[in-house]
Parts: sequence; C-alpha cells; structure tokens
Amino acid sequence: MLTIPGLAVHQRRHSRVLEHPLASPRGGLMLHYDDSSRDDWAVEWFSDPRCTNGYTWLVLDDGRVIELADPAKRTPHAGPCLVPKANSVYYGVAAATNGRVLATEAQLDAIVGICTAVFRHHQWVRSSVADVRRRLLGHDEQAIWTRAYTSERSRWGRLGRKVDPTGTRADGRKIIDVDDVARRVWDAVGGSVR
Amino acid sequence: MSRSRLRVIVLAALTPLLEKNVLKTFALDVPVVFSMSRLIVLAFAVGMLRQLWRAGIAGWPEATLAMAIVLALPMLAALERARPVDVLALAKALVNRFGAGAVRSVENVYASPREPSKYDDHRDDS
Repeated sequence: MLTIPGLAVHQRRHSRVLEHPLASPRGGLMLHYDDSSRDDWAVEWFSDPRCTNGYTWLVLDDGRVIELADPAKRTPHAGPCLVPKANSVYYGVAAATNGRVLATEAQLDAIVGICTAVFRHHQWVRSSVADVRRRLLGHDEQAIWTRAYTSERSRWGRLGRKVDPTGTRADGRKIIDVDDVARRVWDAVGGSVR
Repeated sequence: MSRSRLRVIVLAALTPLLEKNVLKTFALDVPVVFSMSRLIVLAFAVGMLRQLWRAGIAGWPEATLAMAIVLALPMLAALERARPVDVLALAKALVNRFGAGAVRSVENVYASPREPSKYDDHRDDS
C-alpha cells in the first residue's frame, strides 16, 4: 500500500471500494464533490455493495480525510474524459458536499493539503501556478458525453457530462474553486521542487 | 385517397375538439367551432403523455394531475350541468391534492443528470 508522506489521513477504509491496478501512470488530481448531505452517510455509502464509484480521498466537512482506496490504485471517480484512462491518470479527491452547499474552509484546507502532499511526492515539475493548474483539474473540465450517457450523437466527445466541483448554484458561487485551490497549492509548494 | 375519405378522416380527428356552442356558431355563421377547453385538455394530455413516456409519474401531485387530465372531458361535460357551489368544491378538492405528497427535486428530468450522484458508475473510463 502506498503511503504519501505529509498527507494526514484520519481513517483508511479500503475494503469495499472498487480499486484496481493503475492502467496508466499518475498525472494529476481531479476534484469532485460527492452529492452527499451528511458525512456519516457519505462514508457509509462506500461500504455499500451497490456503490460503483469511489475516490482515493473523501474530505469531510470538518476537514478530516478518509482514504477510501490505496493511492497506488485507480478508483472509478472520473468515467469517460478528454484524457483516456482518467481514473488512473488522476487521483480522485472529493469533498463531502453537494451542488448547493459550498465546501467548508476546513475542507478546502484539507484538499490543498492533499494536493500539496501529492505534488511533493511525485515531484511534479512546476514553475508557475499554471503548471499546478495543468495537473489539478475539476471533473467538469474533463468529463465528456459518450454513447453510454446520451443518445444525442452531437454531444459525444464533448464536455458537459458533469458539473462538479464547480456546481450550478444560482448565485454563481463555486462549490470548489479549482483556480483558488491551485493558487493555494502553488503558495504551499511553489518552486520548491524541480 | 378520395376527397370524401379524406373529409371523413379529418372530421373524425377533429370532432372531439369541436362543439356546437349556439352563441358562437350563430355569431360566426358556422356549423361548429373549436372548443377552447377541449384544446387545452388536449395540450395537457400531450404534455402528460410525453412525461409518462420519458420520465414516468413520481408522487401524488403528478399522479393527481394525470388523473385530472384523464377525467377532464367527462368532468367538463358534467360541470356544465352542476351547481356553481359543486364546481367550487371539486376544484378545491383537486387543488388541495397538488401540494400533498413527495415530489421530485426541481430539475430537468429529461436530461442526463449532470450533478454527481452516489449511483454514478464511473468504472468505464475508456
């Protein structure tokens, strides 16, 4: 099992999550929210036999990090994306919230902590916040429509299949602002690794 | 197709939507006129059928609406002979049902859900 240095995990629950060997090398992190309304229910769902999605890390409202899968393995968090084999290419990081409730500051801090630890662990080369942003993506920036999701042929291969982690709040506020997370990750690790 | 057959088919299709309202037919000097209430019922029925077909019926409010549309035409005929107080009582009973019971969340039920769901299956990422 892979343990990423500097990544503070409150609990490891690997048993029922659908983890499989990587099909492609890691290339970044993908942020999500899981459409949950209660942390305990959110965590329990990943032990349910009906569960067919999963993340490497789930971040609860108070900032606790639950590791749902061995970081060395892929989880079914992304589905069809612009980048092939996105479940393997990206670590899946989800805030336990939904499309109406903004991620808490504690959640954002924990997500920044996860990303910072992963960037350091992989020693991903970066010279600017843009470099960080290239490896730190939202699900909505990658998830594409396919025949399995819509019968509208014109949508196949196009973005728009998912709206997380931005969300679609009427007031325009983002559930998770990936640009802001990237800036904070850059502040934490900027220029320290080459 | 002969002209007479076409006329029969058109008449058969339109008859349920026509009425012989004395005032209107006399004023316009035509034998029949379109019934606005029947046209409205037809429009609701088309909408309801589409929903039934594509999204199903969820909860009592939607079921009540579906039943009201099915019963609309016979009810309209009956209401013409009913007392105003009875009509009001019926309307009150129907309207009261619309707010009762669970409802779907407000979203486009015809579109694939773009919000994440715990039931998402993202195992296939090819």
